[in-house]
Amino acid sequence: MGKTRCIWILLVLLTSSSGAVERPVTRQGFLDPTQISLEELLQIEVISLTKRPESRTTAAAAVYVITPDDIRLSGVTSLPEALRLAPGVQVARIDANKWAIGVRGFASRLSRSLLVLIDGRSVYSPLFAGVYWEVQDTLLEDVDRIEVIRGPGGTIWGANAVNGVINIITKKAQETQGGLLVGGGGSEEQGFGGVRYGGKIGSDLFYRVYGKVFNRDAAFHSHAPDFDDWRMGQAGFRLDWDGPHGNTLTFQGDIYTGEAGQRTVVTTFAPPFRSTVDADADLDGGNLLGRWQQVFSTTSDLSVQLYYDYTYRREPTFRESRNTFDLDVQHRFHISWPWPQELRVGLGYRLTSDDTTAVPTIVFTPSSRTDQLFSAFVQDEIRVVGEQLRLIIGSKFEHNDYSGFEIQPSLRLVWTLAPQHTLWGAVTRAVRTPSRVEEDLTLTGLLEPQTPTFGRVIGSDAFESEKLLAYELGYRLQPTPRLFLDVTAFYNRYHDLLSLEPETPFIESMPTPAHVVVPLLIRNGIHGESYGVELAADWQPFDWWRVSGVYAYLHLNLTRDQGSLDTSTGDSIEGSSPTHQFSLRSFMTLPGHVDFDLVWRYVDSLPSQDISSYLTLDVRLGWRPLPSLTVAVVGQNLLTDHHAEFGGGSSEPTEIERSVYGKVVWRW
Amino acid sequence: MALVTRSRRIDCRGQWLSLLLAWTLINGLLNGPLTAAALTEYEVKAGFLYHFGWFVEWPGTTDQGRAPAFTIGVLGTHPFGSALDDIMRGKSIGERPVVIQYYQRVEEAVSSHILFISASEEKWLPAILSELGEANVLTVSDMERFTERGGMIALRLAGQKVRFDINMDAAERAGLKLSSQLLRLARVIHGPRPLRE
Repeated sequence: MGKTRCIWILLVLLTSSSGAVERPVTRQGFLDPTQISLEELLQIEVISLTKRPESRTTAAAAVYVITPDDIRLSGVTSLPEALRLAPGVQVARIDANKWAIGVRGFASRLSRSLLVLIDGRSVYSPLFAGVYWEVQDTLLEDVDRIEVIRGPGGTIWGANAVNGVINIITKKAQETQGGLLVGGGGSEEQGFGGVRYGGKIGSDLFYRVYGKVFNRDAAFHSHAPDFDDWRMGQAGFRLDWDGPHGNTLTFQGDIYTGEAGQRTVVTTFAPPFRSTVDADADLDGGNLLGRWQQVFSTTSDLSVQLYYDYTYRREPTFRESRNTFDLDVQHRFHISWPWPQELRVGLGYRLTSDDTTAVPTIVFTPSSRTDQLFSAFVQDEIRVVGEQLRLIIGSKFEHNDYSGFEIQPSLRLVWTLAPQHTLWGAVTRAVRTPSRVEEDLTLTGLLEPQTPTFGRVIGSDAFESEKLLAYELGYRLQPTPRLFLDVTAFYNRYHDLLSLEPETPFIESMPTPAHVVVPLLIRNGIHGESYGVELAADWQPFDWWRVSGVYAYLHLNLTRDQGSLDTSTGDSIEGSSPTHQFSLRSFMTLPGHVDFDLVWRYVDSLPSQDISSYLTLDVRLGWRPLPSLTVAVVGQNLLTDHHAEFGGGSSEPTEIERSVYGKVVWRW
Repeated sequence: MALVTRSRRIDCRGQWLSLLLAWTLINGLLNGPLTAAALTEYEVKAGFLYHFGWFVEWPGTTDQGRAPAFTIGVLGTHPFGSALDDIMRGKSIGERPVVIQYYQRVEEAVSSHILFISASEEKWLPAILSELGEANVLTVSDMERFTERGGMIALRLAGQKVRFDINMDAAERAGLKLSSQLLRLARVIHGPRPLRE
């Protein structure tokens, strides 16, 4: 009852917006900037509407851009938490240092069908297929934008961009000049600090260096000790050079180290067969990236990007170190016959090499592996009818060492009905390629200690890529400068999704004692479909007040193929993806340089995770006594003492607590 | 038990929202004419483009090959929304009706009087300026360091107000005469600056 009422009020708020906003302020001559003198024009104080990157209105995909203002005013303290601001993204905190993130469903600890890039560097793990969210970080004040692309993006970004692509883009060094000191602490955010300094060498070379540390408290555990506290430190730099003749060079790097507490179930072949260990995961990593761009003309450019990435991870049951080199070349040019068209072609090469060691119940064969990925793409944007109608066709062609050749074509059509009205549609194919887990892993877990009986997940090269064919339709409009609306509908068809196929049990005498093993083969036995609608609205009724709302509806239906015996995987994915998600945020600038901001979220129940629906509220109160100084107090998850957002898998259920922190930002 | 607490909270939020809504509507009605004086950043910037038309003299009053209209061009992904069209509708500069053109390619833009180069084109600015060469086009932009990089008039925000910088050398090279009244109100960049070409 209460819920309906809130939704009703929201609708009134949203629809009344058009009435309030469309009163023609300048159009009916209250103030026409051409009818006053230039001197007077210089004295006018402008309303600052949030500036959104241009991709927002004209892109042929379901793009949502999270701006630095969104990040600052919502009071989020990490990149995964910032993703909650985008529509259709499910962000569920598993414990203090782990998240399950999904787009259009399929959320899991490692988000296997989501590709994530930070400044053009892929952070997708080829060992476990997914993203270790806890090690993806940067100084949030230096984030230029986070582009959340829902739906497949394989044509440009390649494999694993099945349900979405997340591009985290940091500011150029030119935009982070001067010093910044940030510090604070509170109940869950026990202490954090960061410093950045940006300067200039000569007239064209800009740089910045930064460092940050944090210490986070464990989440709430009703039946376990606080195992999941978390400490990390990270430092990095960026150099940007604006050379002559349209040359630009970027060179950047980061290094991090940390410890994230976790509860791990360790299986042994000897009694007691199963034990629980609370210990830290040691996390280290670093990267270096160089990008050279040459602009030949307004219609032609070339960019070459090379990066090196190192990650190290040691958990109680396994250890992995990995080195990755990646080279990417892209060229953009125009041809004018028979229609004006812009072509983008690209070539890529990636070499990734790992070394693993693990307990006897986790076996990677081979323990060390080097893989190569070759890729090429071509995309042609044809202006069929001027700027009004654009046709974008293209495909990625990849060869990987697991599934061989993969083709990921797409066809998109953008129709600009009027300058601020865009209708777009797309048909896209995307694949999620096999990872080391599905091909090389043998994982044994205890089923029953009396006999004893173990289940054994066995990977092999019989596993193929998971495939998606997606149909999307979207409409974006900005009827007035103060109102922006975005609606997207999609229909997805999945094939060859991962399944676990039980085989005939057998008795294994070594290692002793003799035990029963139930083999579970990793196969592609699930198919299905999903459909849904996503809405985003941005409304600024007054200069000092902005309201944003996002809503997503998702229906997911997965079934096993004929011959598949896996009755649980499909249901588990369905029951881990919320049907309804909803969030409303209000950003207010009050007199006396005070900001007052609210973020209110609703997430539907997740039956497979045993999670009931929940509402949360975050509040931020900020004060800027001096132009260079901001002080803020943020309350998070205020509506309940603690609530669970995702099942902990094998570990104990963990709940996210109400928290408060204070923060000071000083710029010089 | 937890459910009961939750639904009560929803209700409170609902009341809070409806209060906010009522207040918004009342506030909006009362403050209408007052807040109407406010202009968005790009409405003000559109106003500047119009005024520049009056304070700049283009060579040859009946320049051949140019439409009898006064053309204000916008290159790239423009930030004006519908503001520029709305504000310029029915306006003229001198005897010439103002026409707004949106371009994606600089080659099409050489016949405009004023060309607003969107920040989206920042990467390609050197190529755009070299393509324009000495064409009699007044280049205006609000991208960073526009005048330093060879553009003619840079619009910039100083706090909440819009200011402009003029690169005299660039304007003179294009054969444009800027009135002293315009120069008086601008920050003029003196002396030749090295062009990034």
